[in-house]
Amino acid sequence: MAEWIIALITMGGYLVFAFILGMMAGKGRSFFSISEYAVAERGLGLVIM
Amino acid sequence: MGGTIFSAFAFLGGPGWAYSRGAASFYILAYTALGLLPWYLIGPRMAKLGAARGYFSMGDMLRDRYQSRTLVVIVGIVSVLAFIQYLTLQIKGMAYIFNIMTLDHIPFWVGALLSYGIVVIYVATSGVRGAAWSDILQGALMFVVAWGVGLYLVYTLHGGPGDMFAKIAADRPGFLEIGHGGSKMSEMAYSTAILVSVVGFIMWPHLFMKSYTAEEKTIKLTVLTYPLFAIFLVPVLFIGFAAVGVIPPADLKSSDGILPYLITNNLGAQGILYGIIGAGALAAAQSSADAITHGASVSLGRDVVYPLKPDLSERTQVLIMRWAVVVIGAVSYYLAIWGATGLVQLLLGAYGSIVQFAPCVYGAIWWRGARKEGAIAGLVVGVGVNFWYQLVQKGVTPLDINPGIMGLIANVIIFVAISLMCQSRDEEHVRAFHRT
Repeated sequence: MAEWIIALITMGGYLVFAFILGMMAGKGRSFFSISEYAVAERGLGLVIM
Repeated sequence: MGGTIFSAFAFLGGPGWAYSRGAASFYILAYTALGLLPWYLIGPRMAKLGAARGYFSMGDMLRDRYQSRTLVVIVGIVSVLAFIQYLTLQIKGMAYIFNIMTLDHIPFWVGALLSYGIVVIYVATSGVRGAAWSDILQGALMFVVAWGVGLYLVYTLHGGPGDMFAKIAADRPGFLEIGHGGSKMSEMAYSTAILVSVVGFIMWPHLFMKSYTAEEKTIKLTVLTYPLFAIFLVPVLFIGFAAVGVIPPADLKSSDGILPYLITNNLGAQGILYGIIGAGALAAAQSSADAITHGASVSLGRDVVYPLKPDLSERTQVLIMRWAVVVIGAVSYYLAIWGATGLVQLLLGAYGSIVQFAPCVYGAIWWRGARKEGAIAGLVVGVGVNFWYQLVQKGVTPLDINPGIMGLIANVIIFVAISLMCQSRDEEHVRAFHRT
């Protein structure tokens, strides 16, 4: 397999993982709440901010 | 927080500056160490005020303190325009990384669309939580890749950092110094570049808004621990220095391409390695792009639209913000792919506008005499002066002072002078704000 395709698959794998993580973060949260959308209900922590 | 702050600049602009400007690139380390310090004072105060008075954006605080819709709309518009500039930088970075790491097989527009497109979707869907959670993965990846690549290149090309810097100092006198012959930056330009970055750092609305996402203790802890993550920048600069005297400038289209060039020419043709490094560099760009995109959407919705239409329901406001992610993203993507400016110059240009918020923000928090007339006038003059020196004078300023600082000087003078000339229209409201 060409090296550039391996690179593409690797980067693509990371993109999929980042996408899933980003989408899962909002699962189960109120969709129409400004407090949720803008400031995560003011509840973020040291690592996740 | 580290993931949000370190961007495409970290993997492209940073090495590019080290390679082309030598010691001038140390300004990055300086402002990184100092940039979040003001947040130790402002952040907890904003967290407390935000929870008590229902703030979601910088504009909410300014509207409450100054009782001025005009000021907030101006801040919102300047913010969105500066965000677009900053986003363009990140998207260009993503496009470049994708293209280089796939050995020119993936066109710029495709790479940018893939990597930024997912950011738009998860930010529009998950809001600030989407940005925050993905930043953890991205921050960790950036850190590991930067140190891995940085150390590998330094030891492979030079035998270690000591040998590398000794060789550079011998071959290029002045390159590792500021303000001397052979240096790429004067002392004044260097110092004021740091100053504008430090003053303007936490004035970026997407960073300012972090004040409302956490408690006071968490904010203080973040400020104290953040410089540890900033250690990530050391190998980034090493990468650029490692190429000095090894890679001729004529081999590069621009100095921002030095890292991709080193990877594709000095690491051996290994697709998995390109992929991992590419992922790390993409992570750097995306971790900033998601926070910036989110911040821009809140600025547009809360600081531009809402003051003009205060009767909008909460549901409508949120829909506007979520759709704003798509619109702002599309505009930034277009400008990134079909526009052209050097990466670091773009960022410094955006900082020059954002730093103009500092007088009215600090004044709102700590000066009971601050008045909306002074804030508006100072902001307009500051932004005007900054753009005059950047666009008309092409960066040429008296004493080589950074254009943003020139604007800030004019801004502060006007802000203070006009505030002192104006009476407060609601002294009790100002007292109540400061009592909170």
